[in-house]
Amino acid sequence: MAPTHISVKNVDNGRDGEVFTITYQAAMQSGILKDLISDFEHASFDEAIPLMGNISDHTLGRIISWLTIHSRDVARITEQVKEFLENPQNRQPPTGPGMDDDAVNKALSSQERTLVAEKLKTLTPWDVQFFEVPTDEVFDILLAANYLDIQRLVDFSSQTVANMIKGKTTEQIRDLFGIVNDFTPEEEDELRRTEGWALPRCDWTPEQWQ
Amino acid sequence: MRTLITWIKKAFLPRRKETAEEDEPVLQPRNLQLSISAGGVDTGQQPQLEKQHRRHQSQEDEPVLPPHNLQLSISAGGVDTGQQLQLEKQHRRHQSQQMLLTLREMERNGMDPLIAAFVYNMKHSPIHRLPDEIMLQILRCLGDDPLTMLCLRRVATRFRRIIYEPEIWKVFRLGVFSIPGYVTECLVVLPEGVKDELLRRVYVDGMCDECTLRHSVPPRRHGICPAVSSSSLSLHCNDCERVHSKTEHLCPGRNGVIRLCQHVNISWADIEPYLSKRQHNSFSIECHDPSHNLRCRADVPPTWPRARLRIEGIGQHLYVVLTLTWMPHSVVSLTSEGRIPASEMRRIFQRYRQSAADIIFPSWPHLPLPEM
Repeated sequence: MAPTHISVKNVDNGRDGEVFTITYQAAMQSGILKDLISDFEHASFDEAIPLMGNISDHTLGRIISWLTIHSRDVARITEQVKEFLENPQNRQPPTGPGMDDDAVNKALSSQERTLVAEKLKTLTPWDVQFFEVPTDEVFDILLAANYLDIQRLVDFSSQTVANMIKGKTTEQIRDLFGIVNDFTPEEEDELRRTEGWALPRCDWTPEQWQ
Repeated sequence: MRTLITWIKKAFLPRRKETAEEDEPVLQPRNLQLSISAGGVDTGQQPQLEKQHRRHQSQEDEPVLPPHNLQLSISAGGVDTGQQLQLEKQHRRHQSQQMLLTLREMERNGMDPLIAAFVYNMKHSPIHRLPDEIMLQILRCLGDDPLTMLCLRRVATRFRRIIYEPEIWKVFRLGVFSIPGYVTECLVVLPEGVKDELLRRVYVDGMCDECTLRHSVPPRRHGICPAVSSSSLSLHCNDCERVHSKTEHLCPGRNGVIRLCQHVNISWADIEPYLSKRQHNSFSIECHDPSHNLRCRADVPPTWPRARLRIEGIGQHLYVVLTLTWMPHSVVSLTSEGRIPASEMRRIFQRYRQSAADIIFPSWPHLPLPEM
């Protein structure tokens, strides 16, 4: 029988971290926990599962809160989509009288699947707020999610990082992530040459810029 | 102005919520007051805020936001724009000073400046902690945005290595072509609008710190900052706190020395006076140390280790080629008929076999000796 609750703790150099408990449903979002639970089906999960991913207690806590909030997402969104599709106007393509039942059901289920997948990919306002933390912490979460194999959280945090980068100039990106320019002058020249059609020439006067 | 409005939005939301939900944390009214006075909310914005608020309330199944984030964003709203700039400037200066200190420390420990920069990124930059596959995922999230890709690949060597992959460019469905054997990197054809935007971003990067904080768009003709007009020709050196012309920007290859023999080292300073087309022929360095005084026959002059300079290329692309030559000799005493006695040969071979030349002259050859 599957356990109702799972506890995890962080183990770092033999030192035990804080113990976090989540529901079975929430834990199933993590690939690593899912495999563990299905592999040791008959084991009792009274003791906390040790995690070795070099995750800090703070990050693990945040991830647990994310897992808890999103534990019922798939069911909730599928329900929403089903409700949405009950209205014949929303169906794509609209079911005509000439189609047999099989074809209609097939079309409907494929549309349902794409809609659910799409909805699962979009960040909710809660997620946006969740990631409003220092950049360092976003990377902590991203790395921990990668270790725990929570694909959706990896996607969300990658999307967040991508949003941070979007629309920024080279210098602004360097500022954002504290990166030093480590190109040799020759490499920089090479970069400039391959973009020669786009970048300004050194001998341009400010008037030519306008 | 837009940022101010968002602050106000954030400041407003929890106050409205307070009436509905008792367990929300009570906000500091002082901060709230300040942010409103700084923004100067006019009636035009009020309905918009209301709408925003109502929309938020309609999403009932959304979980309640963690309160600590709200606190953070509101406290930022209390500062007026001038102070904000000042703070930002201070923060930047502090950040770059920290960066410089760490880099300087590494260089003092004998690290090459470029390697130090690379190591610094690896150790201290948060994004460098991510493995490549996650970086690729982030790039995928950037979507069809070649502009950001182009900016990103100029950030650091790691990004360039990842973005360098021609496979990635295929994903972006751009016109990609490369000339085999010449350009290994993709040349991308950008539409006009994108090109203009890229130019704008490059221009923003050329502005001084002061101007970047004040203008997100490059200033027009009259408001050009003094650093911009010469930015591409000059280089501000953090080390000596002054602006250098681009010609002073030295290639790292000019540091250090090239060793001709154990007695003579050639540095860039030795080469520099001979750099013009006419003078490079007069460049000649030879080492006349007695240990090099070797010759095959007594009547020929000895061949000293020597360095010559050559200039190649045309137009602006000139290369300086330094050629080092020396000739090895075995000192052999010839008989009066001009022959080498066998005993002499044996002695020379024995001497060679004691060092690395044993590979060339093995004492027990694998192949049978040729018939004499």
